Amino acid sequence: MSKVPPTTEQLSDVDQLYRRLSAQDAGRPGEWVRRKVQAYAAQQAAERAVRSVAATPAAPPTPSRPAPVAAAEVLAAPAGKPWVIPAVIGAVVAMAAVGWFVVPAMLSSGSSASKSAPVAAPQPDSPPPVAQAPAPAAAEPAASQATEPAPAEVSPAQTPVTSEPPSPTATAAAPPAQHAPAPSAPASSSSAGTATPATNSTAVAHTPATPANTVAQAPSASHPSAHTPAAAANPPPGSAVAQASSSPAPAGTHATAAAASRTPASAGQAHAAAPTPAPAAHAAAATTQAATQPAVAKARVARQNAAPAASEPTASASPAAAPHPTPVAPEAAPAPKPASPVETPVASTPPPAPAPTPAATQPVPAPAPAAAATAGSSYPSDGLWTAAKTGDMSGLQGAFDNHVDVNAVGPEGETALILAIQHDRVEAVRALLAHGANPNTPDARGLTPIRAARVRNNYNVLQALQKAGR
Amino acid sequence: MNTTEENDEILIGRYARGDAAAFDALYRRHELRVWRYLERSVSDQDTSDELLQDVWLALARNAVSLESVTRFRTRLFTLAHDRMVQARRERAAKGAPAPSRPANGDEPAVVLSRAMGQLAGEERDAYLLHVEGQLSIGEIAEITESPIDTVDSRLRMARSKLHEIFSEKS
Repeated sequence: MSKVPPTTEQLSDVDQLYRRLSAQDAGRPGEWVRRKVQAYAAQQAAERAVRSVAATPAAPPTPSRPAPVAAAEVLAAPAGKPWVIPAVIGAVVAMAAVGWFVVPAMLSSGSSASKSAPVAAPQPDSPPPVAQAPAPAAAEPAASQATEPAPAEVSPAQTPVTSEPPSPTATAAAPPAQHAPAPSAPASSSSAGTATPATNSTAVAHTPATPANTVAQAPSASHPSAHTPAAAANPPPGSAVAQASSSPAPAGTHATAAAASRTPASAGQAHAAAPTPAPAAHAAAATTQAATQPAVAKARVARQNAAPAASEPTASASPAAAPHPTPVAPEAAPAPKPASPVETPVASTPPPAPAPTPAATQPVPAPAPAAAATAGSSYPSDGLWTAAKTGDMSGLQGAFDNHVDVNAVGPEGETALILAIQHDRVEAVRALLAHGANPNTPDARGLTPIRAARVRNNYNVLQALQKAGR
Repeated sequence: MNTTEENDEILIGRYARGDAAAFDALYRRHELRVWRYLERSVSDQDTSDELLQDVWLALARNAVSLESVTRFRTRLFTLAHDRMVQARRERAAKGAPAPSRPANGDEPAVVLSRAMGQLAGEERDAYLLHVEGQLSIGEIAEITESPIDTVDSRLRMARSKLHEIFSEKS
């Protein structure tokens, strides 16, 4: 042993010498390891591929192919089945008859329903006009007003506008503009970046939602007459859409998500998507996810919100939306009459999805999914993680009071518990654990709280984790 | 290096969605380093082969949960470290002696094995994770569940000892 400690250069030379020797080392793992691992991996990959293929066609319904194409294929295919040709011809003729006679009747009945509200009331089963089918969720309040038997309160000024089926955007924009002083104009303009064809109508259609939202949350509402307790009981479309789109949490986890499924927005979406319920709902959900989802963090949050419902918003939305009636009139109509008896059949029609739209009117930033669940409150989006990092107990208490998901992954990929551990905030760790923080939830890098605590070598934190783990 | 890391995460994501070729690419990229880490830790080729197989089978099994992991290599060497520690404990529980390292020879494998044998277990572990896994001190601290300062000290001590060993050899 030499007495003189090696210098830094000598120590770095050690690494180079090691690498040189290691490169000359001819040792390799056994070939059987590679074969076995690759065979197992291929088997697992095949199983996953089969699973994903089996899961994919369940979402879009197959009859989306145009009938003539299908008929041509059937005619060309089986030569040994003589019954096929008459069957196909009959089917085509039947579809043509339906197209010629039923659809115009439905269109005319839909327009007459919007022109004269009391007459339109007993037509709950008439699907909306075709022109309204692809309308995004932004136009829902007015679109549902035009097609559903609720518009007893529709004013004469609205009637000609809502009677034009080809312009659902105009119908969506018209009623709110009459009675809304637009206190939510900044929030609405923030949704313009989503740039769907109905973005303009979204900006206006959400305008009456915010007064209703203020009725529900603050007593100083600017429209107490138009938005009666019914509006407070059922969150308005704007807030519901914002919560649904900004929070990917399943319906059972957050009250806001459940509220979203009860909103008139979902009813409007149900009617707008009536001819093809599943594809429209999927398209809306996909658009929402693509627009608002920061990939890694939201995926982690969706996994960690281990709710009984499915983690996919579309999947969880349908069963959650089904049992809740969706009255339309309170938000759509400016008249003080909140709910009329004619709304009952409309409300009983099961809306397929709560229709999360990209037009989120809440000013909550996107990378904070868990905090976004507290939309409507003034709690900052990253408040939980900041409070955990700094040991701010009042901030943590605010997060608990706002029912922020304490296991959510923050913008940097860490959970609040791991942040508190890494900064030696023992009290914050104890508070988080007491409020349901999972001591086994890893962060985005796979670092578990116990590993983080051992790295910090903090006995108190380790003890708290050990207690919480039992 | 950063691109490699991104590619690792992309590859594991592709494999999680059913692309077996992505896993093969990952395996080829990291097989030798993981095996060297294991082999120089346990000093037994058969055991290190089995451990290598365990590590990669676990990765293949849990690829879906690794899809959102931001740093694949850290997870890979965490698995390897945990399996190595478990094997070491099992061997100690059985009362089996530790495999002997070669005393003579100038081949690189022999020299390295002998040098690793002169390091303490924690020092060897930290050093091998550093040079074979190319991991930072913080990552090594997380993998070995040790404080960062402790890992730093172990690395310094390991380098100092290896310097003496290689100097004597030369």
